[in-house]
Amino acid sequence: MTNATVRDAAREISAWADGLFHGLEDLERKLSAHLTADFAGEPPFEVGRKARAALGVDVADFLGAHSGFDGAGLIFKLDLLEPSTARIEWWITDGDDIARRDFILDRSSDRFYDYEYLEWFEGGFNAGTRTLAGPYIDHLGVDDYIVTLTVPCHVGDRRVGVAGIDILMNDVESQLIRMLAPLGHGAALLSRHNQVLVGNSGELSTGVRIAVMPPGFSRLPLEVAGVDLSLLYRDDES
Amino acid sequence: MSQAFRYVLASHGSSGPFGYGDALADQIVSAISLGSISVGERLPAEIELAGEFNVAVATLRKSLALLRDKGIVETRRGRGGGTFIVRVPFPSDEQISTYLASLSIVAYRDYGDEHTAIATGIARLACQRAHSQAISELRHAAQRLDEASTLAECSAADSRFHTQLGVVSQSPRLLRASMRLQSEILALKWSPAGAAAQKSEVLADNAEIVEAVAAHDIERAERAVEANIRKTVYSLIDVKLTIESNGADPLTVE
Repeated sequence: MTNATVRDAAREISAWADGLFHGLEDLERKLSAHLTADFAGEPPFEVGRKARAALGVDVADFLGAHSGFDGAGLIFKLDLLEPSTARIEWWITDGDDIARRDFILDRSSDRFYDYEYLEWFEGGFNAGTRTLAGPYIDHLGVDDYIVTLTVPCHVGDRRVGVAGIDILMNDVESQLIRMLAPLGHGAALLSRHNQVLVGNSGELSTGVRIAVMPPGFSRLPLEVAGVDLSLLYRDDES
Repeated sequence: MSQAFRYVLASHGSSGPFGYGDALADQIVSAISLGSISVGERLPAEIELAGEFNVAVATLRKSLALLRDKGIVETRRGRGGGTFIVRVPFPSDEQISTYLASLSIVAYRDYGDEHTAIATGIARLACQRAHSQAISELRHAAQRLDEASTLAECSAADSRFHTQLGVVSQSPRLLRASMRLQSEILALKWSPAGAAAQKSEVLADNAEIVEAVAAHDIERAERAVEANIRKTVYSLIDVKLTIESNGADPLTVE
Protein backbone atom coordinates (compact mmCIF):
# COMPACT_ATOMS: atom_id res chain seq x y z
CA MET A 1 0.00 0.00 0.00
CA THR A 2 1.35 3.38 -0.94
CA ASN A 3 1.70 6.21 1.53
CA ALA A 4 -0.48 8.32 -0.76
CA THR A 5 -3.38 5.83 -0.47
CA VAL A 6 -3.16 5.92 3.33
CA ARG A 7 -2.90 9.71 3.37
CA ASP A 8 -5.92 10.07 1.07
CA ALA A 9 -8.06 7.74 3.16
CA ALA A 10 -6.94 9.49 6.36
CA ARG A 11 -7.80 12.86 4.84
CA GLU A 12 -11.26 11.70 3.74
CA ILE A 13 -12.11 10.17 7.13
CA SER A 14 -10.77 13.22 8.98
CA ALA A 15 -12.91 15.47 6.79
CA TRP A 16 -15.94 13.27 7.52
CA ALA A 17 -15.43 13.52 11.31
CA ASP A 18 -14.55 17.21 11.17
CA GLY A 19 -17.66 17.87 9.06
CA LEU A 20 -19.86 16.15 11.64
CA PHE A 21 -18.43 18.31 14.43
CA HIS A 22 -18.72 21.51 12.39
CA GLY A 23 -22.38 20.73 11.74
CA LEU A 24 -22.88 20.03 15.44
CA GLU A 25 -21.12 23.25 16.48
CA ASP A 26 -23.39 25.23 14.14
CA LEU A 27 -26.39 23.51 15.68
CA GLU A 28 -25.15 24.31 19.21
CA ARG A 29 -24.88 28.04 18.34
CA LYS A 30 -28.40 28.09 16.93
CA LEU A 31 -29.95 26.16 19.81
CA SER A 32 -28.19 27.94 22.66
CA ALA A 33 -29.37 31.29 21.26
CA HIS A 34 -32.95 30.24 22.04
CA LEU A 35 -32.10 29.76 25.73
CA THR A 36 -30.75 33.22 26.54
CA ALA A 37 -33.96 34.42 28.22
CA ASP A 38 -34.81 31.20 30.09
CA PHE A 39 -31.24 30.69 31.33
CA ALA A 40 -30.65 34.24 32.56
CA GLY A 41 -29.89 34.76 36.25
CA GLU A 42 -29.19 31.84 38.57
CA PRO A 43 -30.25 28.17 38.36
CA PRO A 44 -32.48 26.24 38.52
CA PHE A 45 -33.52 26.91 34.94
CA GLU A 46 -36.53 25.82 32.99
CA VAL A 47 -36.84 25.58 29.22
CA GLY A 48 -40.04 27.47 28.45
CA ARG A 49 -42.63 26.53 25.89
CA LYS A 50 -41.52 29.13 23.38
CA ALA A 51 -37.85 28.14 23.57
CA ARG A 52 -38.72 24.46 23.32
CA ALA A 53 -40.75 25.04 20.18
CA ALA A 54 -37.87 27.00 18.63
CA LEU A 55 -35.39 24.24 19.56
CA GLY A 56 -37.69 21.68 17.96
CA VAL A 57 -37.89 23.61 14.70
CA ASP A 58 -34.10 23.99 14.45
CA VAL A 59 -33.38 20.36 15.34
CA ALA A 60 -35.99 19.19 12.81
CA ASP A 61 -34.33 21.37 10.14
CA PHE A 62 -30.95 19.98 11.10
CA LEU A 63 -32.06 16.33 11.03
CA GLY A 64 -33.90 16.96 7.76
CA ALA A 65 -30.81 18.49 6.16
CA HIS A 66 -28.37 15.80 7.37
CA SER A 67 -29.64 12.34 6.54
CA GLY A 68 -28.16 9.44 8.47
CA PHE A 69 -28.44 10.89 11.97
CA ASP A 70 -30.60 9.03 14.45
CA GLY A 71 -31.17 11.98 16.76
CA ALA A 72 -29.94 15.36 17.93
CA GLY A 73 -30.51 17.93 20.63
CA LEU A 74 -29.33 19.37 23.92
CA ILE A 75 -28.61 17.60 27.17
CA PHE A 76 -28.16 19.68 30.29
CA LYS A 77 -26.21 19.30 33.50
CA LEU A 78 -29.07 17.93 35.55
CA ASP A 79 -28.67 20.04 38.68
CA LEU A 80 -28.94 23.27 36.66
CA LEU A 81 -32.54 22.38 35.83
CA GLU A 82 -35.68 22.78 37.89
CA PRO A 83 -36.20 19.13 38.99
CA SER A 84 -39.95 19.01 38.41
CA THR A 85 -39.65 20.02 34.75
CA ALA A 86 -36.17 18.69 33.90
CA ARG A 87 -36.03 17.19 30.42
CA ILE A 88 -33.56 16.34 27.74
CA GLU A 89 -34.31 18.34 24.61
CA TRP A 90 -33.86 15.44 22.22
CA TRP A 91 -35.48 14.59 18.90
CA ILE A 92 -35.14 11.41 16.87
CA THR A 93 -35.81 10.62 13.24
CA ASP A 94 -38.84 8.41 12.74
CA GLY A 95 -39.10 7.50 9.07
CA ASP A 96 -39.71 10.82 7.34
CA ASP A 97 -40.82 12.43 10.58
CA ILE A 98 -39.02 13.87 13.58
CA ALA A 99 -40.28 12.94 17.05
CA ARG A 100 -39.45 14.16 20.54
CA ARG A 101 -37.93 11.51 22.74
CA ASP A 102 -38.45 11.49 26.50
CA PHE A 103 -36.04 9.94 28.98
CA ILE A 104 -36.54 9.05 32.61
CA LEU A 105 -34.66 11.66 34.66
CA ASP A 106 -36.15 10.76 38.05
CA ARG A 107 -33.11 9.66 40.07
CA SER A 108 -35.21 7.35 42.24
CA SER A 109 -36.54 5.39 39.26
CA ASP A 110 -35.11 1.94 38.44
CA ARG A 111 -34.95 3.18 34.90
CA PHE A 112 -33.30 6.55 35.57
CA TYR A 113 -31.21 7.49 32.52
CA ASP A 114 -28.05 8.10 34.52
CA TYR A 115 -26.09 9.89 31.79
CA GLU A 116 -23.76 12.28 33.57
CA TYR A 117 -21.04 9.67 34.00
CA LEU A 118 -21.25 8.44 30.41
CA GLU A 119 -18.38 9.25 28.09
CA TRP A 120 -20.30 11.64 25.84
CA PHE A 121 -21.33 13.80 28.80
CA GLU A 122 -18.02 13.51 30.66
CA GLY A 123 -16.16 14.63 27.56
CA GLY A 124 -18.54 17.25 26.19
CA PHE A 125 -19.41 18.80 29.55
CA ASN A 126 -16.74 18.04 32.18
CA ALA A 127 -13.73 18.14 29.87
CA GLY A 128 -15.48 20.66 27.63
CA THR A 129 -14.13 19.22 24.39
CA ARG A 130 -15.41 17.75 21.16
CA THR A 131 -16.18 14.15 22.11
CA LEU A 132 -16.85 11.10 20.01
CA ALA A 133 -18.16 8.35 22.30
CA GLY A 134 -18.79 4.80 21.29
CA PRO A 135 -19.57 2.44 19.84
CA TYR A 136 -21.85 1.76 22.81
CA ILE A 137 -25.28 0.38 23.63
CA ASP A 138 -27.29 3.34 24.91
CA HIS A 139 -29.24 1.41 27.56
CA LEU A 140 -32.21 3.45 28.89
CA GLY A 141 -31.34 6.16 26.38
CA VAL A 142 -32.29 5.43 22.81
CA ASP A 143 -31.57 1.70 23.44
CA ASP A 144 -29.62 1.30 20.24
CA TYR A 145 -26.02 0.56 19.28
CA ILE A 146 -24.67 3.98 18.41
CA VAL A 147 -21.92 6.58 18.46
CA THR A 148 -22.66 9.92 20.07
CA LEU A 149 -20.85 13.13 19.20
CA THR A 150 -21.01 16.00 21.67
CA VAL A 151 -19.69 19.53 22.04
CA PRO A 152 -20.09 21.81 25.06
CA CYS A 153 -23.22 23.98 25.09
CA HIS A 154 -22.86 27.50 26.49
CA VAL A 155 -25.52 30.07 27.19
CA GLY A 156 -23.70 33.37 27.67
CA ASP A 157 -20.60 32.51 29.70
CA ARG A 158 -22.16 29.55 31.46
CA ARG A 159 -21.60 25.97 30.30
CA VAL A 160 -25.02 24.37 30.69
CA GLY A 161 -24.64 20.98 29.04
CA VAL A 162 -23.83 19.51 25.67
CA ALA A 163 -25.23 19.53 22.16
CA GLY A 164 -25.12 16.09 20.60
CA ILE A 165 -25.93 13.88 17.67
CA ASP A 166 -26.42 10.11 17.61
CA ILE A 167 -25.62 7.94 14.63
CA LEU A 168 -26.65 4.28 14.54
CA MET A 169 -23.66 1.96 14.14
CA ASN A 170 -25.29 0.45 11.04
CA ASP A 171 -25.14 3.89 9.42
CA VAL A 172 -21.62 4.69 10.64
CA GLU A 173 -20.58 1.38 9.13
CA SER A 174 -22.10 2.00 5.72
CA GLN A 175 -20.43 5.43 5.50
CA LEU A 176 -17.00 4.38 6.72
CA ILE A 177 -16.69 1.05 4.96
CA ARG A 178 -16.55 2.92 1.65
CA MET A 179 -13.80 5.24 2.92
CA LEU A 180 -11.76 2.30 4.26
CA ALA A 181 -12.05 0.33 1.01
CA PRO A 182 -8.98 1.85 -0.72
CA LEU A 183 -6.85 0.54 2.19
CA GLY A 184 -7.76 -3.06 1.40
CA HIS A 185 -8.85 -5.84 3.78
CA GLY A 186 -7.83 -5.28 7.41
CA ALA A 187 -8.25 -1.54 7.90
CA ALA A 188 -10.17 0.12 10.75
CA LEU A 189 -11.03 3.44 12.31
CA LEU A 190 -10.13 3.35 16.02
CA SER A 191 -11.55 5.41 18.87
CA ARG A 192 -9.39 7.05 21.52
CA HIS A 193 -9.64 3.79 23.46
CA ASN A 194 -8.20 1.91 20.46
CA GLN A 195 -11.60 0.34 20.00
CA VAL A 196 -12.79 -0.39 16.48
CA LEU A 197 -15.54 1.96 15.30
CA VAL A 198 -15.69 0.34 11.89
CA GLY A 199 -13.25 -2.07 10.31
CA ASN A 200 -13.32 -4.07 7.12
CA SER A 201 -12.36 -7.52 8.34
CA GLY A 202 -13.83 -10.00 10.82
CA GLU A 203 -10.98 -9.56 13.31
CA LEU A 204 -11.43 -5.80 13.17
CA SER A 205 -15.19 -5.64 13.56
CA THR A 206 -17.02 -2.96 15.53
CA GLY A 207 -16.40 -3.00 19.30
CA VAL A 208 -13.15 -4.99 19.21
CA ARG A 209 -10.47 -3.44 21.44
CA ILE A 210 -6.96 -3.47 20.04
CA ALA A 211 -4.94 -4.00 23.21
CA VAL A 212 -1.67 -4.71 21.43
CA MET A 213 -0.81 -3.48 17.96
CA PRO A 214 -0.95 -6.59 15.75
CA PRO A 215 2.23 -7.33 13.76
CA GLY A 216 2.13 -6.16 10.15
CA PHE A 217 -0.16 -3.23 10.96
CA SER A 218 0.48 0.50 11.31
CA ARG A 219 -1.51 3.19 13.05
CA LEU A 220 -1.91 6.76 11.82
CA PRO A 221 -3.47 9.40 14.11
CA LEU A 222 -6.09 11.46 12.30
CA GLU A 223 -5.92 15.23 12.26
CA VAL A 224 -9.32 16.17 13.63
CA ALA A 225 -9.21 19.09 16.06
CA GLY A 226 -10.00 17.99 19.60
CA VAL A 227 -10.76 14.34 18.74
CA ASP A 228 -8.43 11.40 19.19
CA LEU A 229 -9.10 9.02 16.29
CA SER A 230 -6.66 6.86 14.38
CA LEU A 231 -6.52 4.70 11.33
CA LEU A 232 -5.26 1.13 11.54
CA TYR A 233 -4.09 -0.45 8.31
CA ARG A 234 -2.04 -3.34 6.97
CA ASP A 235 1.54 -2.46 6.32
CA ASP A 236 2.84 -5.78 5.02
CA GLU A 237 5.50 -4.37 2.73
CA SER A 238 7.59 -2.89 5.55
CA MET B 1 -44.38 -14.62 24.06
CA SER B 2 -48.06 -15.54 24.07
CA GLN B 3 -47.11 -19.12 24.93
CA ALA B 4 -45.38 -17.88 28.05
CA PHE B 5 -48.57 -16.15 29.14
CA ARG B 6 -50.52 -19.35 28.67
CA TYR B 7 -48.01 -21.24 30.79
CA VAL B 8 -48.34 -18.91 33.72
CA LEU B 9 -52.12 -18.78 33.52
CA ALA B 10 -52.36 -22.56 33.47
CA SER B 11 -50.20 -23.05 36.56
CA HIS B 12 -51.41 -20.17 38.69
CA GLY B 13 -55.11 -19.89 38.14
CA SER B 14 -56.84 -16.67 37.36
CA SER B 15 -56.52 -14.63 40.55
CA GLY B 16 -53.21 -12.86 40.88
CA PRO B 17 -51.80 -11.95 44.30
CA PHE B 18 -51.05 -8.31 43.52
CA GLY B 19 -54.37 -6.83 44.52
CA TYR B 20 -54.70 -4.03 42.01
CA GLY B 21 -58.45 -4.49 42.20
CA ASP B 22 -58.49 -5.59 38.60
CA ALA B 23 -58.25 -9.31 37.93
CA LEU B 24 -56.83 -8.89 34.45
CA ALA B 25 -54.16 -6.41 35.60
CA ASP B 26 -53.23 -8.90 38.36
CA GLN B 27 -52.85 -11.67 35.82
CA ILE B 28 -50.61 -9.62 33.59
CA VAL B 29 -48.47 -8.57 36.56
CA SER B 30 -48.16 -12.22 37.67
CA ALA B 31 -46.84 -13.09 34.25
CA ILE B 32 -44.34 -10.22 34.40
CA SER B 33 -43.19 -10.88 37.95
CA LEU B 34 -42.47 -14.50 37.20
CA GLY B 35 -40.42 -13.63 34.20
CA SER B 36 -42.77 -14.87 31.48
CA ILE B 37 -42.28 -11.49 29.91
CA SER B 38 -39.29 -9.33 30.69
CA VAL B 39 -38.47 -5.73 31.36
CA GLY B 40 -37.82 -3.97 28.09
CA GLU B 41 -40.03 -6.34 26.11
CA ARG B 42 -42.97 -5.18 24.11
CA LEU B 43 -46.39 -6.63 24.92
CA PRO B 44 -48.24 -8.28 22.04
CA ALA B 45 -50.68 -6.08 20.12
CA GLU B 46 -53.82 -5.24 22.09
CA ILE B 47 -56.08 -7.35 19.92
CA GLU B 48 -53.79 -10.37 20.27
CA LEU B 49 -53.42 -9.89 24.01
CA ALA B 50 -57.18 -9.50 24.46
CA GLY B 51 -57.62 -12.81 22.62
CA GLU B 52 -55.00 -14.42 24.86
CA PHE B 53 -56.87 -13.43 28.03
CA ASN B 54 -60.25 -13.95 26.41
CA VAL B 55 -61.49 -10.42 27.16
CA ALA B 56 -62.76 -7.53 25.07
CA VAL B 57 -60.17 -5.04 23.79
CA ALA B 58 -61.86 -2.27 25.81
CA THR B 59 -61.44 -4.32 29.02
CA LEU B 60 -57.78 -4.91 28.24
CA ARG B 61 -57.21 -1.19 27.61
CA LYS B 62 -58.63 -0.37 31.04
CA SER B 63 -56.24 -2.82 32.72
CA LEU B 64 -53.27 -1.56 30.73
CA ALA B 65 -54.13 2.01 31.73
CA LEU B 66 -54.03 0.90 35.37
CA LEU B 67 -50.61 -0.71 34.87
CA ARG B 68 -49.42 2.46 33.15
CA ASP B 69 -50.49 4.47 36.19
CA LYS B 70 -48.57 2.06 38.43
CA GLY B 71 -45.44 2.53 36.31
CA ILE B 72 -45.33 -1.11 35.25
CA VAL B 73 -45.86 -0.57 31.55
CA GLU B 74 -45.13 2.40 29.33
CA THR B 75 -46.59 3.21 25.93
CA ARG B 76 -44.26 4.76 23.38
CA ARG B 77 -45.30 6.25 20.10
CA GLY B 78 -43.44 6.39 16.84
CA ARG B 79 -40.61 4.21 15.63
CA GLY B 80 -40.35 1.01 17.67
CA GLY B 81 -43.44 2.08 19.57
CA GLY B 82 -45.92 -0.06 21.52
CA THR B 83 -46.56 -0.98 25.14
CA PHE B 84 -43.41 -2.01 27.00
CA ILE B 85 -42.74 -3.56 30.37
CA VAL B 86 -40.67 -1.07 32.36
CA ARG B 87 -40.72 -2.46 35.89
CA VAL B 88 -41.07 -5.85 37.52
CA PRO B 89 -43.12 -5.67 40.70
CA PHE B 90 -41.60 -7.62 43.55
CA PRO B 91 -43.64 -10.77 44.26
CA SER B 92 -44.87 -11.89 47.67
CA ASP B 93 -43.27 -14.77 49.61
CA GLU B 94 -46.36 -16.92 48.97
CA GLN B 95 -46.10 -16.32 45.28
CA ILE B 96 -42.41 -17.23 45.27
CA SER B 97 -43.07 -20.47 47.21
CA THR B 98 -45.88 -21.45 44.87
CA TYR B 99 -43.70 -20.80 41.89
CA LEU B 100 -40.65 -22.64 43.25
CA ALA B 101 -42.79 -25.67 44.02
CA SER B 102 -44.35 -25.66 40.57
CA LEU B 103 -41.07 -26.03 38.69
CA SER B 104 -39.02 -29.21 38.39
CA ILE B 105 -35.37 -29.48 39.38
CA VAL B 106 -34.62 -30.10 35.73
CA ALA B 107 -36.24 -26.77 34.84
CA TYR B 108 -33.94 -24.96 37.29
CA ARG B 109 -30.85 -26.80 36.16
CA ASP B 110 -31.71 -25.98 32.55
CA TYR B 111 -32.31 -22.33 33.44
CA GLY B 112 -28.89 -22.29 35.12
CA ASP B 113 -27.28 -23.85 32.04
CA GLU B 114 -28.71 -21.22 29.71
CA HIS B 115 -27.91 -18.32 32.03
CA THR B 116 -24.37 -19.58 32.56
CA ALA B 117 -23.79 -19.92 28.82
CA ILE B 118 -25.00 -16.38 28.15
CA ALA B 119 -23.38 -14.78 31.21
CA THR B 120 -19.95 -16.36 30.69
CA GLY B 121 -20.13 -15.30 27.04
CA ILE B 122 -20.82 -11.75 28.15
CA ALA B 123 -18.04 -11.89 30.74
CA ARG B 124 -15.56 -13.10 28.11
CA LEU B 125 -16.45 -10.32 25.68
CA ALA B 126 -16.47 -7.71 28.43
CA CYS B 127 -12.90 -8.72 29.38
CA GLN B 128 -11.80 -8.43 25.77
CA ARG B 129 -13.60 -5.21 24.94
CA ALA B 130 -13.71 -3.11 28.11
CA HIS B 131 -11.62 0.06 27.97
CA SER B 132 -10.94 2.33 30.95
CA GLN B 133 -14.12 4.39 30.49
CA ALA B 134 -16.27 1.25 30.23
CA ILE B 135 -14.71 -0.12 33.42
CA SER B 136 -15.47 3.09 35.29
CA GLU B 137 -19.08 2.90 34.06
CA LEU B 138 -19.25 -0.69 35.34
CA ARG B 139 -17.93 0.41 38.76
CA HIS B 140 -20.57 3.13 38.81
CA ALA B 141 -23.28 0.51 38.16
CA ALA B 142 -21.89 -1.76 40.91
CA GLN B 143 -22.02 1.19 43.33
CA ARG B 144 -25.83 1.36 43.00
CA LEU B 145 -26.29 -1.83 45.02
CA ASP B 146 -24.31 -0.32 47.89
CA GLU B 147 -26.88 2.48 48.06
CA ALA B 148 -29.96 0.21 47.78
CA SER B 149 -31.98 -0.58 50.90
CA THR B 150 -35.22 -2.45 50.16
CA LEU B 151 -35.26 -5.87 48.47
CA ALA B 152 -36.88 -4.39 45.39
CA GLU B 153 -34.11 -1.75 45.22
CA CYS B 154 -31.40 -4.38 45.71
CA SER B 155 -32.88 -6.52 42.98
CA ALA B 156 -33.16 -3.54 40.61
CA ALA B 157 -29.58 -2.43 41.37
CA ASP B 158 -28.28 -5.97 40.86
CA SER B 159 -30.13 -6.03 37.54
CA ARG B 160 -28.57 -2.71 36.49
CA PHE B 161 -25.13 -4.10 37.25
CA HIS B 162 -25.59 -7.20 35.11
CA THR B 163 -27.18 -5.09 32.39
CA GLN B 164 -24.13 -2.81 32.42
CA LEU B 165 -21.92 -5.88 32.05
CA GLY B 166 -23.94 -6.67 28.92
CA VAL B 167 -23.42 -3.09 27.72
CA VAL B 168 -19.66 -3.50 28.22
CA SER B 169 -19.73 -6.69 26.11
CA GLN B 170 -20.82 -4.48 23.16
CA SER B 171 -23.35 -7.11 22.03
CA PRO B 172 -26.96 -5.89 21.78
CA ARG B 173 -28.17 -9.48 21.25
CA LEU B 174 -26.39 -10.87 24.31
CA LEU B 175 -27.61 -7.90 26.34
CA ARG B 176 -31.22 -8.69 25.39
CA ALA B 177 -30.75 -12.36 26.26
CA SER B 178 -29.18 -11.41 29.57
CA MET B 179 -32.03 -9.06 30.48
CA ARG B 180 -34.57 -11.79 29.75
CA LEU B 181 -32.68 -14.28 31.94
CA GLN B 182 -32.19 -11.77 34.76
CA SER B 183 -35.88 -10.97 34.91
CA GLU B 184 -36.56 -14.68 35.38
CA ILE B 185 -34.20 -15.02 38.33
CA LEU B 186 -33.84 -11.69 40.15
CA ALA B 187 -36.97 -11.82 42.32
CA LEU B 188 -36.27 -15.47 43.16
CA LYS B 189 -32.66 -14.62 44.00
CA TRP B 190 -33.47 -11.75 46.38
CA SER B 191 -36.74 -12.92 47.95
CA PRO B 192 -36.46 -14.29 51.50
CA ALA B 193 -38.73 -17.12 50.33
CA GLY B 194 -36.34 -17.84 47.46
CA ALA B 195 -32.54 -17.85 47.49
CA ALA B 196 -32.56 -14.98 50.05
CA ALA B 197 -29.48 -13.31 48.63
CA GLN B 198 -27.52 -11.19 51.11
CA LYS B 199 -26.55 -7.73 49.95
CA SER B 200 -23.00 -7.92 51.35
CA GLU B 201 -22.40 -11.21 49.60
CA VAL B 202 -23.77 -10.01 46.25
CA LEU B 203 -21.71 -6.82 46.53
CA ALA B 204 -18.61 -8.97 46.96
CA ASP B 205 -19.62 -11.24 44.05
CA ASN B 206 -20.18 -8.25 41.76
CA ALA B 207 -16.93 -6.61 42.89
CA GLU B 208 -15.07 -9.79 41.94
CA ILE B 209 -16.61 -9.59 38.44
CA VAL B 210 -15.63 -5.90 38.11
CA GLU B 211 -12.04 -6.63 39.17
CA ALA B 212 -11.77 -9.57 36.77
CA VAL B 213 -13.05 -7.43 33.87
CA ALA B 214 -10.74 -4.56 34.87
CA ALA B 215 -7.83 -7.01 34.81
CA HIS B 216 -9.04 -8.38 31.43
CA ASP B 217 -8.84 -11.81 33.09
CA ILE B 218 -11.33 -13.93 31.12
CA GLU B 219 -11.02 -17.11 33.20
CA ARG B 220 -11.47 -15.28 36.46
CA ALA B 221 -14.52 -13.37 35.14
CA GLU B 222 -16.14 -16.52 33.76
CA ARG B 223 -15.51 -18.34 37.02
CA ALA B 224 -17.06 -15.48 38.99
CA VAL B 225 -20.27 -15.25 36.96
CA GLU B 226 -20.65 -19.01 36.83
CA ALA B 227 -20.25 -19.37 40.61
CA ASN B 228 -22.71 -16.54 41.05
CA ILE B 229 -25.47 -18.21 39.03
CA ARG B 230 -24.77 -21.66 40.45
CA LYS B 231 -25.10 -20.40 44.00
CA THR B 232 -28.58 -18.98 43.28
CA VAL B 233 -29.82 -21.99 41.32
CA TYR B 234 -28.58 -24.54 43.89
CA SER B 235 -30.18 -22.63 46.68
CA LEU B 236 -33.50 -22.38 44.80
CA ILE B 237 -33.48 -26.14 44.26
CA ASP B 238 -32.86 -26.66 48.00
CA VAL B 239 -35.77 -24.36 48.86
CA LYS B 240 -38.02 -26.16 46.44
CA LEU B 241 -37.12 -29.54 47.98
CA THR B 242 -37.73 -28.16 51.47
CA ILE B 243 -41.19 -26.97 50.48
CA GLU B 244 -41.96 -30.41 49.07
CA SER B 245 -40.64 -32.35 52.05
CA ASN B 246 -42.82 -30.14 54.28
CA GLY B 247 -45.74 -31.50 52.31
CA ALA B 248 -47.06 -28.16 51.16
CA ASP B 249 -49.39 -28.43 48.24
CA PRO B 250 -48.27 -25.71 45.88
CA LEU B 251 -51.75 -25.27 44.46
CA THR B 252 -53.27 -24.33 47.81
CA VAL B 253 -50.59 -21.97 49.06
CA GLU B 254 -52.28 -19.03 47.39
